[in-house]
Amino acid sequence: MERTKNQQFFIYLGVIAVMIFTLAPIILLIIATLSSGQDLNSKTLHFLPSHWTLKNFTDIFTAGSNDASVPPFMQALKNSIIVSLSTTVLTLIIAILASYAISRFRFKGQNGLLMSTLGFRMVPEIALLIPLFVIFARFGAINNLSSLILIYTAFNLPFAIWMLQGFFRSIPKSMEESAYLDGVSSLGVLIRFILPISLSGIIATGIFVLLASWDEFMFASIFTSTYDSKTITVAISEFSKRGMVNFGMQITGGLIASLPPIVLALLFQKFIVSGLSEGSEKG
Amino acid sequence: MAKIVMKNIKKRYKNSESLTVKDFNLSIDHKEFIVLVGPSGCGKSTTLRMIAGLEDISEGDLLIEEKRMNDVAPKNRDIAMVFQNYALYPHMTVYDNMAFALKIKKINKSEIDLRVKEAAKILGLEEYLKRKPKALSGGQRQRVALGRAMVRNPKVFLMDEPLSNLDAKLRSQMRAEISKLHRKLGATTIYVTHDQTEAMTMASRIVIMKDGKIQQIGTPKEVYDHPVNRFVAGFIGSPSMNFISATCSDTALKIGDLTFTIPKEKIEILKTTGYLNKKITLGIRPEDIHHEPKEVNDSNTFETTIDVSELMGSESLLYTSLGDSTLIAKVNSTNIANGEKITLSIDFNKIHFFDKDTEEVIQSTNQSKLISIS
Repeated sequence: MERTKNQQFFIYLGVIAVMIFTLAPIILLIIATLSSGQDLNSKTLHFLPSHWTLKNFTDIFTAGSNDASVPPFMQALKNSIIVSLSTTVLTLIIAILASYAISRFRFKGQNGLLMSTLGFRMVPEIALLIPLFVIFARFGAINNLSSLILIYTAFNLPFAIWMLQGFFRSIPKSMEESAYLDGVSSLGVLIRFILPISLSGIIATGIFVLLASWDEFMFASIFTSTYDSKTITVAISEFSKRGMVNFGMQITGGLIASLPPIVLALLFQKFIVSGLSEGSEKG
Repeated sequence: MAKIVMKNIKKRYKNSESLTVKDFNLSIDHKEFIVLVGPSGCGKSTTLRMIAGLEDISEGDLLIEEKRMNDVAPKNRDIAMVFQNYALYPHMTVYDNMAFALKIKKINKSEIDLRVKEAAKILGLEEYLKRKPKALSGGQRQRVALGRAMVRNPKVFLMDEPLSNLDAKLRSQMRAEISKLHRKLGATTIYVTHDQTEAMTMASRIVIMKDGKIQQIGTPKEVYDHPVNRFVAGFIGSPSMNFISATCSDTALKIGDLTFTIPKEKIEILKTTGYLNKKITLGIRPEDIHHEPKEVNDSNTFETTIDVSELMGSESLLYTSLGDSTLIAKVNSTNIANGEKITLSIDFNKIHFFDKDTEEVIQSTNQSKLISIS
């Protein structure tokens, strides 16, 4: 159906309205990072700063090196990268093996296992915060990146297992049987067939896990108290303390923290969207 | 090229009371093309999967080349299987799909290349070798699946309803191609289908199954001409055989109010087996009923009104009734209208008798010998 010029006009009008609504905060964020502290703290509201500056960026990359009361942003960034990447890799390895077993093999308590992973997910994280802290503290595992990695992995696993077993189930079983007849082992089938065919699903799951652990604040803020172990979310929150609000640093930190997810999403959107399993069966 | 023997093979699934396959006995010769046929749920696919090693054998022995294969891993049985949904590897090109099993076996590259290209040539896939399965039509995918099995040069080919996802025209074309391929390669083939046409046209021997039990084993002609029971008689042949209640005295056959004279040999069968003057089921194939254009009044004709006449092109299917059963006739006349009153004749030399209760065929003893030998 051909659209008339009028219809097209209104459609674009709608699109523009939605775009402004979603993009305006980001544009304001970018403008704010380029403003001086004076502008950000002034009572009269400006849309554009009185003068442009890159001071926020130069400050944030040297944060903490001269003044011990300011969190070292670069260290926090590094911690966040380590924690979220390790969490993602660990979660994916465990989830791939677990969900392949659940989706393909029959064993006692299979459904119970699957339901209990889901049930675990239903428990609010905050309810587990204190017990987990006590446990980790007993083992002296506080202020340690690996404890964050463990906790994030535990909380992300149910979701990852559910996502992946759905993808694995959609792969026709006969394809695997065919591979067995061709002489491939179970693990070989997983590595040579299941992984490449469900690559899009695995990457999508991985990105969700990565974002969840990148964004996590609650556990990180309780489990870490030294700059060596604080992650970026905690560091950003600590730019403002009692009696001192550093909008410039906070906003700039926020902008930098939001870059990796955006870059990842752009890089992998092809995988997130496409379904590679097509064509194995009758199309 | 292998001999396969199945002795008392049974399959019981976990959590299932009954046997899915009950006591399957079959000996398959070199180069045979065996078709397992039956309605869905009759255990034919399960039997095939047990031969492939994809299902455990609960009881009995499977021998390939006189070696017991029950506990041998699928990959070591030297078999290739073609699946109903093709089961191609979607992330590999056609070439890689076909070469994969050979690569796993660590066969050298030039040999792989030779075999894949030869198979592609036979199957007409040469120009598609670089494509992924996604970019192929159903028929082409099916050919890739066949090619993948072919290049392995296996002892046994197993095919699980390989044509049922194709449209009718392509199906008959592929049917001929598979038959041709079998003649060319000469590999022992076991083929599962629910389509009696495929069974009749391709098989060297047909195994008809129902409820996990073999009903009859025989060449297409044998099972068509000498079905052992009502199920086989109804399953083989299209349209299905007509089954009509009748009683036969030593002079005439009575169906409803009509009486017919039938050949002496046929009466003799009933006489020796003690079915004279008892209710029996008569089996008449639609193609053994003929249209008599002129009004004749023979001992094997009857007059009837046609309920529905379906023109098939060179022939017509006529739906009418005889006694209290509906009757389908396949006749050469193509100008019969619905509701028309015509005369039909029955070729009583080709009729079958079945026991009303056991549904087994009624046959003289020397005839049954003939069947068991074949």
